[in-house]
Amino acid sequence: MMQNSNGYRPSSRVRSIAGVAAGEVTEPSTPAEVAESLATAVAQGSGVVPVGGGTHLGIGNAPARADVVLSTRKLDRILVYEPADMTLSVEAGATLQQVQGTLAERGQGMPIEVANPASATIGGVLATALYGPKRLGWGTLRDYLIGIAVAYPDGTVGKAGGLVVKNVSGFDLMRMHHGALGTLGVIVSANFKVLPAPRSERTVLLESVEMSALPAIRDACLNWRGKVAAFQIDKQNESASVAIRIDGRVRTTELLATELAGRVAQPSSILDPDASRSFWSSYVARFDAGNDPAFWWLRCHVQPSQSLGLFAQLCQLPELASAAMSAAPGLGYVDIRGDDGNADSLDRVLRHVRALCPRTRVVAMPESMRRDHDVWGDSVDSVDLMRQLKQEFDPERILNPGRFVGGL
Amino acid sequence: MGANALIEQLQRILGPANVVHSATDLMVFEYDGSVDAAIETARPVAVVLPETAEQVAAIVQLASREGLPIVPRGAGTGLSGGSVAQQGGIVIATTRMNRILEVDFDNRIALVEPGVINLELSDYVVPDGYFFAPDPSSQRACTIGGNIAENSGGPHCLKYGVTTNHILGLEIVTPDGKLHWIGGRGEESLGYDLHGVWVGSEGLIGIVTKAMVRLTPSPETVSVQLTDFIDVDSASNAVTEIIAAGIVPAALEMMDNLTIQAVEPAFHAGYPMDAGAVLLVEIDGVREDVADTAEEIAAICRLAGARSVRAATEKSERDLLWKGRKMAIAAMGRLAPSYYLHDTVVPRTRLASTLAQVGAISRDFDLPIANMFHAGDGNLHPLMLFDRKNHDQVERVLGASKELIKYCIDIGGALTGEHGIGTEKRDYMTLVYTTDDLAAMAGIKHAFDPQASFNPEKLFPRGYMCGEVRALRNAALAQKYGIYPM
Repeated sequence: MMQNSNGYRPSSRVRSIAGVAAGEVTEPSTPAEVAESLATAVAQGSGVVPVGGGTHLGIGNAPARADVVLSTRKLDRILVYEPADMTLSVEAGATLQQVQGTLAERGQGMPIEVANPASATIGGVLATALYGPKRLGWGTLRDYLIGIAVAYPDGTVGKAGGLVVKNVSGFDLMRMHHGALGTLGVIVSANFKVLPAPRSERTVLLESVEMSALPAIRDACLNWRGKVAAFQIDKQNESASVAIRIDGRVRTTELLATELAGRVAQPSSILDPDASRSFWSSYVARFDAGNDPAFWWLRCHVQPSQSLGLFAQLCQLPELASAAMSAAPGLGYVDIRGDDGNADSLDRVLRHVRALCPRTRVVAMPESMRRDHDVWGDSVDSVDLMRQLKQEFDPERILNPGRFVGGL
Repeated sequence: MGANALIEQLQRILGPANVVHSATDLMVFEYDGSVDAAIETARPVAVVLPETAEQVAAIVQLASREGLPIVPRGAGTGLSGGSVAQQGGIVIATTRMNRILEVDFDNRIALVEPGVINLELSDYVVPDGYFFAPDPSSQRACTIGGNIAENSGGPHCLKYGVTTNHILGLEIVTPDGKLHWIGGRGEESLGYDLHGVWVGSEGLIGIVTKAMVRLTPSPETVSVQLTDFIDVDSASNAVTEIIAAGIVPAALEMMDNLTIQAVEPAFHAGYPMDAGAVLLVEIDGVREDVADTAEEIAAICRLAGARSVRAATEKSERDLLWKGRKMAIAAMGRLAPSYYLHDTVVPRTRLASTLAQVGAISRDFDLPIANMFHAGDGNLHPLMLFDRKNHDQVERVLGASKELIKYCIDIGGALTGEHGIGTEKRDYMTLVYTTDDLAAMAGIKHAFDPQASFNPEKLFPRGYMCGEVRALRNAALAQKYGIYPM
């Protein structure tokens, strides 16, 4: 796969969205052009599918219509970066790698991880509300988003927030669009507060841990004087592996890693900063569909205290014997993924998993299965209120029609 | 329905003790914490004090049938006029919905009613090693419902984030009188981030009846440093250098000489009376980390010209250093009978030039202005001292305010960092936002409150009708694109 952020042309690859044939590709180069193409789509009754890097097109149900693929590829500029103010304004089509690279030159960054950062765009990460293991210590883009500009189906571009780190002037449209999958408008640019990059980090690794030892390890990691940046447990044959990331000042990370290794009372190894960084970037990369049409990924949401119990139950399911499974006990989810998705087996998997955890969403599944499944499940609260928002911002239902929760 | 019939119906829902309606009793509800030079006061028909979410829903249904405005209110400590009943109607005060319903340390969450006082929640969980992070200066009095409405901040939001970062889910009553749960109950929710939209919506789209909030583990060690400088310039530079070094303190506060003059004689916090400015820097975390960071900050401050650095790790010492800051506004009574507290935010690197501009405005308008503020995130609180009985002074305060706000906006700042727009700053909204920006915000209002009954005349500029604006704009677009049949 091409990974060059300049030469990479995600939109031209899009032939279908969740099994629905995609129509013409439009690549507006200004926010006003984005708004114009939305208004045109309304006039023509076309369905519009906004696309960033195309790395997570698997998210959402099959759209009712996909007449126009609206790529943000040409909106890829970093508009403002003030290292001393630690603020950033960037167009939606800029890739995560491009943004992180710019910030890294000044020793700064945003603590956000997604698979394939060379292609994934800021707009895409915002619209899908994606996050990685580091959410435990550092939150998601939601926590860093301080301003936004959005093109709406009525042909306008509306801004909200600003470029200062604290601001309560007017309604919080930033959060309305975060995770809305482009169904209320197309994000054209966003402003963030950025952070100093951690000076150092360490990862404590545990292999072949008995399942029964996991609760004590969780308590050792989470109820402790140290702050943990990430804490993931992965199924490893009949047992589990555990990875705990600590970041911060050089001396602190060193001594906390050693202290934690002692606390967990299991054989462990400690990764030095470089090894730690590369461990986590390959960890996150496992959640990339790439070109694999049989890749599937479920995310089960529970309260953090229930996640290890759910993990243990899921590990027992014969249907999941060959699936990869990861729990984030500090965050409250279990990820299940595989590359053997066929209709029969995945149907059974989904039924069993949802019986254990109703709030299970499908993040990726083979296209052939998409029309027959609601990837969001039916445990969403207050869909009627969500419908009111949709009716207000996209009354003609041109934006990703039918892809979001409750058929929105 | 006449006023008497309305009161009777309200009493039927709530019992007579929970309905306030006599003219004298209502007087205290004509205000909030805003300076009355900047907002107009107004009297509601009745103030109701419900005890349950179902009562709130019943009141909202009644008001909706009768076409009466509803104004949600917490403790009334707001600083932007948000809880003043501009068009009369019914004020729903949540102060009797003040129970902490559940505390779940395993999941680090608590379910609370909106009338719980901010500090009471922290006090309740501190023995178990947790706290509720948003800490507005009014935290001894303000309610969590009010914090949610205004998306309140506080000194520690520099590190811990503002209210919206600590709200996981909400039970709300929408303007049609229905109860809903939005967001999660400890687990993540799917769909639109409705609770994110509700936080900071200033009571314009409904009222919160329960909140699931995040509890934050208390740090192992806390250290507070007091550093003093000969002028605000060098203190501002120290702030920039601390941030540039990649340090995010828990709090980073500045006070200027005028503030010190009011605070020190009142509270004896130990601020040098001759300092041009002092910085309060709080760092927290594991003890080794705090020790290293404290040393680094002290070195940065000395390099930036600090005359002295005093560190406190014992709680009583820390509390004393903080007392001056937290009580600074109260101490202003020593200098003048009235004050007007501003809440602008500027890019952090523009602190020094903005403070210089505040000085110039103070001279031009012949008004003393004290500065005590959240320097770490550029959130200024210039405090104009005056006497509200003096008409000329009131005029000068309003003129100086306009000048100050315009300057901050011109250099890329924001109208308000944590106090909200309310009525106080509604007419300034057009300085920052275009018609299209406001129309998108109006979309949220119109989606949830099409009758515009909740908290009328707030947030949007005077005369702005959300429904109307959306309709007019759609009509214009219909013409342009031949769509949206009207």
